[in-house]
Amino acid sequence: MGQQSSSHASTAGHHHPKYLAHHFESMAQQNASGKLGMWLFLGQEVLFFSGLFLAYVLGRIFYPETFLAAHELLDWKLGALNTIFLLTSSLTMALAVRGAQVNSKPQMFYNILATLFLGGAFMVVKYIEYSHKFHDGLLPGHFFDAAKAMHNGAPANIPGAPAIFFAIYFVMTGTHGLHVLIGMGLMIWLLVRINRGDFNSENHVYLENVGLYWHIVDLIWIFLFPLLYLVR
Amino acid sequence: MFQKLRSLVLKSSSAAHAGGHGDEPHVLPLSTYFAVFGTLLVLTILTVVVSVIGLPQPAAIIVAMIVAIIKASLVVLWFMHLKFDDRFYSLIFVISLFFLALFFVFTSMDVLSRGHVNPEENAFSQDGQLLRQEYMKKK
Amino acid sequence: MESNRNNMTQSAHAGTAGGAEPNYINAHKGIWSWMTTVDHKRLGLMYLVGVLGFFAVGGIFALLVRTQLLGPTNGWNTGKQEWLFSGDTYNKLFTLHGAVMVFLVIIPSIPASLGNFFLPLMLGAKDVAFPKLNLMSFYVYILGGTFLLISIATGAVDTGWTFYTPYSTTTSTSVISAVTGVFILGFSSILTGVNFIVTIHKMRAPGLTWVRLPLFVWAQYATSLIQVLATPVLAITLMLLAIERTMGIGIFDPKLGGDPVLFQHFFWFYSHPAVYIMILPAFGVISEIITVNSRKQIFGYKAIAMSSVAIAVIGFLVWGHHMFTSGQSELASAVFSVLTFAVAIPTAIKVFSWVATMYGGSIRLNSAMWYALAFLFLFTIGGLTGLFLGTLSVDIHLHDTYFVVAHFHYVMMGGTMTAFVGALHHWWPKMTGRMLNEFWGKVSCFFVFTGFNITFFSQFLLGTKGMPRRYATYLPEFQTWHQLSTLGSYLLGLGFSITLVYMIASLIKGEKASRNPWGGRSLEWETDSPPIEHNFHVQPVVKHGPYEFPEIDHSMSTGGGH
Repeated sequence: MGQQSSSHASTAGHHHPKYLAHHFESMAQQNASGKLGMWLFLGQEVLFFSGLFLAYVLGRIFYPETFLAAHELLDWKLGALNTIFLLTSSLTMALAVRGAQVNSKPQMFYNILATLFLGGAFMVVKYIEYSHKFHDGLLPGHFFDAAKAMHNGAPANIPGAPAIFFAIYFVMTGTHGLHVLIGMGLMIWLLVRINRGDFNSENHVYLENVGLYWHIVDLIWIFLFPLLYLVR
Repeated sequence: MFQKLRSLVLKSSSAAHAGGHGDEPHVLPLSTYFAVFGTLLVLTILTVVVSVIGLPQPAAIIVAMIVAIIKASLVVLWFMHLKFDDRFYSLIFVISLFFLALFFVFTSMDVLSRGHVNPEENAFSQDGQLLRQEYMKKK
Repeated sequence: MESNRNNMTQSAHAGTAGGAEPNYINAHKGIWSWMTTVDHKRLGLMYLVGVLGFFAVGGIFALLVRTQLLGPTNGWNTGKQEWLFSGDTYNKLFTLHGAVMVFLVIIPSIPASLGNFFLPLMLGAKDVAFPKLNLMSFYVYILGGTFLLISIATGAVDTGWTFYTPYSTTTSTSVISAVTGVFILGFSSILTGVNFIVTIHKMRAPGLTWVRLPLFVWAQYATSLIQVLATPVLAITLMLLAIERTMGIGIFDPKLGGDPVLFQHFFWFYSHPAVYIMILPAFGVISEIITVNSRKQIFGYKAIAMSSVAIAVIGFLVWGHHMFTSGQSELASAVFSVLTFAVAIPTAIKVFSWVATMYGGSIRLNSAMWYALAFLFLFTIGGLTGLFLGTLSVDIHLHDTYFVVAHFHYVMMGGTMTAFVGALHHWWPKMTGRMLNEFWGKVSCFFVFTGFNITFFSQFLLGTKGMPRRYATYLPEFQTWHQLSTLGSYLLGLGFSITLVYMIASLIKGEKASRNPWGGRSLEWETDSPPIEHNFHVQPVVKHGPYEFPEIDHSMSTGGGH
């Protein structure tokens, strides 16, 4: 874009760092815009997941016995382990943002790295869980295999519609897992940029926004865990 | 209340060309983060323990959801800095939750009141489950 | 031209020397500079071209549908099995007409094209808050449109634009690619909404307080709110639909233990508010056109601004009125019916305010104003018939008849598209730097208005007589009305074709436009026509409201005064 800003009367006296985009007046305006945009996006995320949670609620209303019986087939210990992974990753993410605020490159870098690994650990556990379910035939919709499930120790006859429970389980955790993967991708990008020295206490709205996104992913898991694994 | 809301909206957006306001990051002490994290872990253990003990039906889900809401609030308020940030972000978040609630309330209202006037219309729970069972038998 | 008569000189005029400065169209050259542009004005134009292109596609589908309906049966008078299309083809045609018009034309029409172009100009900003995101939204829009076109090429869809289950999960047509297209278009809509809200909050010029915002901006704000909050629910709905279709997960299909009414809840939770995504920007446009061409302070500024927000919120509470006959519970139907009436209140506030604005004004009847008046007439009919349909008992009779078809065409087509074309006339000089031909503008408006009423008023009558929608054939006694309706649709097509011709003519040899041909008072009129790349030579400072016109001198000629 052309450098019109020189003719721009009101910018004359302003501090104009290189990372300030041409159409903003100040870093305050640029950062606030970025964050406002992210919060709106998070509002969008809440409503995106609302459909899945609503499907869960209605599933429970329609098939209460199914949900109570079928959730026993999920391994709450793995779920709890994953909860701890995500909560810890939220902590490291928050510390990374704090690192940016106090202008510490190592604090940013290593905390994001830790967050990335914890996200990876979450996905590994998720993979283990999924492969058990595949092995046991506990799959959504047409792929649900009652005989195989029984053979692998599921109760003889889950009342109602277990295929629907597992459909909801897979769609909810799958959509959530996809968000985790996207978050991990963003973190790799952050690591590159931190390493390049792009972020400091004045300019770290990208880091902050990825952080906000990551926390909302954690937030969704905070509800998924008891709803899917624990409630009796 | 409307006055308050209005001033909130206006304040948040007066920043445009007025120069910096509230740009200095609000740095929390490390201990705060660890305290929040510790609480989250304790609440996780609590919710697992409650589940293993096995409360009666309605109580179990109510307790689980209350604990989850407390955990979520901790994450939102401290990790996401909502407690210290521009109040307008909180407003956005609350609005999105409000619309989520609308979605839940109206849809559940329909589902839970079907067949109250004309029982034949409550096709879902009986027919659907019967069909489902037949389908399962065939497999 | 009486152009600059009441152009109050502001700081923007200080930069008159910049007249030689290249404008946004010729500042950079070559196709690549357009493909990679982050300039909101260029993106607005690109959206405009896309929207108009898809409008032509959807319009052709509509004309084909109407042509089929000239005859009551498939083999009408030809002795053959089929007069024009088979029933299956007909189903695909009306589905594609609906899907293209809703998702590719009306939803992005005013917000994405004119909103992109004028929002930053009206705010006195250099660009939207996130220019790169804006470019991305555009490509996402094109990608989504491509998927819909792929779906057409691979056998099309015959579900209706609503994709109701269980039909959509069992039909053999290419639902998946259509649904993917709509899913992707949703992203474009959400990102544009986020971008606009942030822009309105953070990019306003000094002195531009919330009560000095042009009402078009308020309308865009309310629209964006809905885009951000409702569209994600459509995304999740379509995702579940696609999974249901591929894996049979049984959430919506009663045969697998699901609930088809649930799909309708999910779908209309988005799609009813989406109706307001379509109409709210049109309200904003009408507020601008009527006020500027009445040369008078708008009546009830705050009431109009707040009613936009009120409509956006209440619009979320009424989706069940699409489902009165679906097996939804009686309680829910009654509640939704009552709430539906509530929407009429803010809407009526707007209509009365526009009429009151014209009262005592110095009205200039240019072609934009013609379109605005057509809007008032058509939208009022569309809105009032909505109340018939919102009435529980009446809807049982009228549901899924041509009455519904006529109602929403009066709102969507007579409302939104009329306002959209009116807005093009109003802002064309600013966008292109050329004037449109006023005479042909009025001729086309006449054809559009007349053709529209012939097309759709007859459909009200058909509906009350019991003609169901979405049928390729009908009973012979309906034939006269159907043929009348088809005749009207050809007139409508003619009207829009005339518009296309004189718009192209204007680009080639139109009269050069001044900065402010209509004497508007909002910021977009303070810059050059067409604007320079960064919009304003000097950062504008706002000292008055958007509609503070000088006292009307009634000795001057009123109406058609060019």
